Formats: sequence, structure tokens, C-alpha cells
Amino acid sequence: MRKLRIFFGTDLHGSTRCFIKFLHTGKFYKVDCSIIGGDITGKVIIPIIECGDGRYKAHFLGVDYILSSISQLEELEKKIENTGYYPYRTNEDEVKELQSDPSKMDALFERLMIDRVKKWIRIADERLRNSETKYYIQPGNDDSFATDPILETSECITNPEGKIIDIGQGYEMISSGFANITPWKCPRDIPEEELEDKIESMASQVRNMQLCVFNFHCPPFNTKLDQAPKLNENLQLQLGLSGQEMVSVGSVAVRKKIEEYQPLLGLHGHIHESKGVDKIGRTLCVNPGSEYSEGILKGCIIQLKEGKVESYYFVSG
Amino acid sequence: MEEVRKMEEEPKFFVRRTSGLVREFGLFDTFAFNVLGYAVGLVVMVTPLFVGGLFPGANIYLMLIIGSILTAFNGITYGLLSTAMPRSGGEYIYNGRVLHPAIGFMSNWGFSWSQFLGIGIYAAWTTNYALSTALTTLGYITNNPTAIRWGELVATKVVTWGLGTIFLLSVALLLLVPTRWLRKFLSSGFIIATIGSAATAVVFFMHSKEDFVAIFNDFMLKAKGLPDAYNSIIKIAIDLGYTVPKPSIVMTILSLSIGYWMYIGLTYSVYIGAEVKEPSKVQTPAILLSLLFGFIFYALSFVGYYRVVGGELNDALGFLNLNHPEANPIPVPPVMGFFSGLLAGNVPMNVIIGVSFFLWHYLLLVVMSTFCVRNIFAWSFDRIMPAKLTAVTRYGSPWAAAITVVVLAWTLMTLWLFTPYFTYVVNYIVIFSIAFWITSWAAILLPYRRKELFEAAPEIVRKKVFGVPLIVIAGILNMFLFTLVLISSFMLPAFSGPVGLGATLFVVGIYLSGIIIYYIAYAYRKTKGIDLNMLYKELPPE
Repeated sequence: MRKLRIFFGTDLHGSTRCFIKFLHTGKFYKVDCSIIGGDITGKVIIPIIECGDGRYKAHFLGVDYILSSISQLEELEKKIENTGYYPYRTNEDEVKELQSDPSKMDALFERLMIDRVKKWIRIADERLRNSETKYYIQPGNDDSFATDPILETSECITNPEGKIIDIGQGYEMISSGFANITPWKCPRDIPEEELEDKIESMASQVRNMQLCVFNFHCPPFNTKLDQAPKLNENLQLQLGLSGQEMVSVGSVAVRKKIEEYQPLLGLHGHIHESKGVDKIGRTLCVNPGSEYSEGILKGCIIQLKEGKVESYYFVSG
Repeated sequence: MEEVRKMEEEPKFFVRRTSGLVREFGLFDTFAFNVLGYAVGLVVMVTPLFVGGLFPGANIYLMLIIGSILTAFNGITYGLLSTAMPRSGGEYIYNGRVLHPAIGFMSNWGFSWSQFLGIGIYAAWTTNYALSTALTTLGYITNNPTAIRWGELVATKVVTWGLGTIFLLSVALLLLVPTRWLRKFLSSGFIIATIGSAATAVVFFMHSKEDFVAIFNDFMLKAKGLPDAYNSIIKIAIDLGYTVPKPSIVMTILSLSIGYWMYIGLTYSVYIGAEVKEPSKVQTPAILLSLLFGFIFYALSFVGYYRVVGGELNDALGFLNLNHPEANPIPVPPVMGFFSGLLAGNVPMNVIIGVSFFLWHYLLLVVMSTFCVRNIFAWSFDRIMPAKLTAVTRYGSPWAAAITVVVLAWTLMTLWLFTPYFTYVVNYIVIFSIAFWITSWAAILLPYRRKELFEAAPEIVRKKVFGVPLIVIAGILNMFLFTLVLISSFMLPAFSGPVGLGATLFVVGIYLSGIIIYYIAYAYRKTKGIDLNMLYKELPPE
């Protein structure tokens, strides 16, 4: 059995710069397959508001801008897009309307997210046509279900969600971007039991668990990959006598299935600042973390050889 | 595109409900970490004596002002780099990303060795200087022979080694508790130590020079049978070659290296950069606030001290301490805390001063050990060092790196106490100043070599002054500062340590070993499919 090199990154959150970098990972890191483990859509819209005199104004990363030409407008829009936010040209009336009507705001987010993913897929299909690297992108718990059909249209990128995929050299991968319930009630937050069923339905069909990769957006519970601040019911930070309290927020179901099946490798994201590695039995679990807003594509390169993890290391691209 | 400061209308952006995270060290914690890093309450105690002995005639206030201004650029350089690259590891990250991974490792390796040596020495000083001075001072001032005996006992080599070992073990335990507990411990310790130091300074403002001369003469008569001690000590110094100095601009310029030395540690928070909350709002402001705090603290303490103790006695004692320590009749180290305790004249106040003096030493040990652990962790995480050093407890505390730091420091403390090795080769200031000097290049070149990183950095990093990025200006001035510090270090061994061939080879050896280790690791990892040069290499962004 020959070796297989994998690049694993996660949580791009709308950053076009990180996405473009992801498309380069195949050649740059000389990997056989390149995977994004979920959360591809952004979180913030930056309204670029018409001033009425041909100029626009916007607030971005702590700076207020007045834009008086199309080139300035486009330059700022590109900057916004590269950090993962959505620039949106609008006017004062629409801003008021959006503020007062959450359904309109939701619809706008959905539209902008879909447009961004469509754009990405178009670029990927242009650039990866002759690539020898296999590319995989799955949605994560923060991503709307509207992103799935767009990913499915790609000729060069595979959405591995809910599938058992042969990623080469006899290694198989099962994937899920769903997570246990978070305080934010994101689109793909589901109860632990449901998540367990999803994993079980895939894991039970894997040919050889010794050669299997679990690509689950949510990290396993009570590991070094799932430490996050404790929040109260109002989503405010929970401060204890010792200051900020950290708790495990990973999935019990993910942990249970890793303990039960003992796959070769676990690929996880979700908790941006819990970059690290941990072992559950024989299974090496990694979370490369995310710095999408800085335009840095963080990742982990894993080399598999003869059914073992020969090496792994984290990169900041 | 016009950037303006004010906008009247809301909202500025829309956010949807998605998951998010925070880090541990807030503004106050980061500020306290840095003040503990330069141990303001320790440094203020010895600086007047140091300046009086090394640079007679220097204007200490001018030295403080210019030194603080130059240090500000060191603070801005590191603060902005840490804001642009908010990761733990200091120059390992900045130089590694901007210059070359091997340079990043080499410089941080060199810096970390200066700190390993520093931890070893401070572990001993915490006992034979801080604890001993506190006890003997308390004993003499309150006429308590037991305290004097204990003070002398803890200054012996064996007891110093034993207590130093215990202090290092306690540091190891602290490094193993969850970060939030460690942070709380440091911040609480900072408050207690600061109260003690503030009390030390306040005592001077409650007395006149006449009060001091009378109390000091009375004390010295009882303790050593020396009449009119104030004038006698000045005469002893003159008889041994001391001349009352005239104000000197040259000496003031030469003393600028002390103006920086007083703030060594100001930027230590950058080594725990990954644990600092909102780096763009916290890192640089916390560093500069630490500087401002130090400036005010030093200035007020100096004013109070010189007003009461007087430059004449201080400079004469500085001369004697440096050239003829055996001729100094004062039975305890003549540091600021001794004079303040003498004026206060009561047990509670002397205990407060003593505890504070001890805490500044001990907490500095904890601070230095904390970020050395982070540095080792960063190297190991990137596979330059064995991955086993990244092992952490279930609370996320890096136990393997913590034990490594403490064992290294303990070994160096033992060497320092029982061999003359350090006396010949260890020039602490030169070792770390080289790392700081190299980092100037990372700041100067960031906007040009890592354009994408610079443009994606928070606004504070992208600030320009007359069209030139602030980080470039800060980098140039940081280079000027450390060129000055390095020159002073080689010209004034009494300031920084030995400068002979042995010391030079030692420094070169440390940095050279960094390069060798990097390339050995590089070659070994390459056989395992890991290319260390790719760790921070930017992917094409277009």
C-alpha cells in the first residue's frame, strides 16, 4: 500500500482569500487529497451605504470609509470579501428595513452566502480541471442547507457529507458537518442521538476501519480539541472565581463512535482556537484551528503509510 | 479612498448567530504580566545605586525620560508584531514568518536561553538577595537578632540552593494549573507587590532629609558604632578614590542602556500572544500602559528617594558597592527598601516592604517560566523539537515543556551557585539583545515581504506616519535602541556581564546551536514527509 498525503483545513467562514489558497494546496503541499471540514459561509454583512451624492460610506475593521469612485468601492469590497465578510451595496432606507425585519435580513444573508459559494465553485471548476489532487468540501454546522446543492454542481470538488468515499490507496473517509446543539442554534445543530445515528449509518458500511478517516466537523467531547468558554443563557461569557471558565463543547456522539470504531484518523474543526491534536485509543484526532479573518489558511498535513499515521504537522498558509 | 474617524449613522455591520470564541488574558492581566516581567518593584530598589556607581554625574531623570521613549519603540515593535501575528512564541513566529523559519527559531532559541539562565539566577536571588535582604533589614531595623541570623543563613550557598530548588518546584506546580488560575495568581500577586512598593515610596514623602540623616546616623551608631554615618560614608568613599561627580551629559548618554534595562520584560506578553484576548485592542495598549506605569512609578520613587536620602550618599554608596564593597559599613544591601524601612521604623511596614521585594523576584520567576514553556511548546508543535514536549494535562497545561524549563533552570542555578562558569561566560543582556535586534528586521520588512499579512492585519498595525508604516519606524528605532544596548554591553561589563572571548563564544555558540538544531530537525522531518520550511510559507492568494 502506497502512502497518502492529506491536507485538512476548516472553518473558512466566507474568506475568499482562504478559499483561493485552498485551491493551491494540492501543488503547494504536494498532497493527494485536500479537504475542508465545514463552516464555509460568513457571519457578517458590511453595508456599503449610498450617500446620495455618488459616494458611499462603510465601516470595516474599525475604520469608517467614504468611497468616491467605483475603483475605491471595488477595492474595499475585495478587502471585505477576503476577510470572510459580505459587502452589500445598499441605501439608508433598506438598512432601516433590514434592521426592522429579521426575515429580510435572513433572506439577504442566504442570498449573499449562496452567491459566494457559487462564485467559489465557478473558480474551483476553472482552476482544478487538470488537478491530480482530489478536493473535498463539506458544509459545517454554521452553513445553510442551501449550500449543499451548489457544492453538488461542482465538477472538481466533492461534497463528502453523509458519504463513504474512497480517498485513494485503499483509505476510506466518512464525513459529517453536523454538530451537537450549540447555544447559537445553527442550521446543522442536531441532538447527540441524531448525530450518533448519522455516524453509525456511515461507519457500519466502512470496509476496513483500520484504514478509515472520520471527517467530522465537530470534535469529540472532552479532548484538547473542544475547549471553549462557558456561556450563560444570554450567550455571555461565564466568569467564575478563577476568571473565564472553559468547558468541553465537543460531541459525545463523535467521541463514542471514535472509541467504538477506532478509525485511523479523526479530522475536526468547529472550535477555531482549540488547534491541537489528541488521541482516543489508536485514533489520532486533529483540529488545525482557523484564522480565516486574517486571510491565513491554517491546516494540518497528514501522511498515511501502511495503515498508520506516519507523520502530521500544522501549517499556516 | 478616504478614511474618516466619525460616522453618524448606525448600524455599521450586521451579524448572524454563529459560534465564537475568546482567550484568557485581558487588558489588566496582560498589563500586570508585563510589569511583573520587568519587576518594577525590584528594579526601582537598585537603580539609583547602580546609576550612582556606574555613571556618576548622570542625570537619572533625563535617563529615565529618554530611556522610556526609546523603550516605547521596543514596545510598539513587539506589540504590533504580536497584533499582526497573535500567536505564542514571540520572535519565533515573527522572524520565522517574515524572515526565515531558521532565523525565527534561532532568535527565539537564543532569547529563551537568556531566560533559562535568568530563571536559574533569579531562583537563587529570590533567596540569597530578596529573602536575605528582607530578613536582615527587618532584623537590624527592629533589633531582632533571630531575623538577622536567618537572613545570613539563607544567603549561604547550600541554603540558597535548597530554597531555590523549592521555589522552582513551586513554579513547576503553578505551570501545571489551568491557565486561568495561573493568570489569577499573577494578577493578585501583582497587586500585593505593587502595594508594597507604593508604600516603600510613600514613606519617603512623609519624611524630610533632616529626619533621614538623624534616623540613619542613630541606626548606624547602634548597629556599627559609626558616628555621623551620613558624612562618614561619603568620606570613606572619597578616601578610596571617589570624587563627587559633576553633572555630565556624556554619563547621561551612556546611562541610557540602564534606561532600557529598567524595562527588560516589558514585552513578555507577546510570548503568550495566543492567550491574549482581542490582541488588536490589548497587546500594544497593555505594553504601552506597562511602560507608562513604570515611568510614573520610577519617577515618583526617585523623586522621593533623592529628596530624602540625597544623591551624595547614594553615589558614594554606589561607588563603594561597585569598587570596594568590603568598605561599605552598612550591614545590609543599601537598596531603597532598606532606607524606606529605616524611616518607617516599625515591623508591619518592614514586613510589607520585605514581602513586596520577595514577591517581585518570585513572580518574575513565574512569568519567565510561563513564556519559556510557551516558546518550547511552539517549537515542538511545529516539530522542530520532539512532539512529546507538547504533552498537556487534561486541563491543557503543557506539563512536558514545564518540567523541561524547570529542570534546565535548576541545572543552571546549581552551576551558577557552585561553579565560576557564569562569571566567565554569561552575558545575559547581550544574549537576549541579539534576538531583539534581529526582530527589528521583521518589523521593518513585514509590510514588504509579507504584504498580504500586513494588509490583513488590524488597523493599528497598518497605521502610517507621514506615509511610512508605523511598524517600520518602530522597527528602525528598535534597532537603534538595541545597537546602543549591545555597544553598552560590550563597553560596560559591570552592566551586562563578562565580555571576553569565552563570553563571546558562549553567545555565538547559543545562536549557532539554534541554526544547527533547526537544520538537523529539518533534515530528519523531511524523511517523514514534513517540510519545516513550509510551516508558515504563504499559499498564493490569487
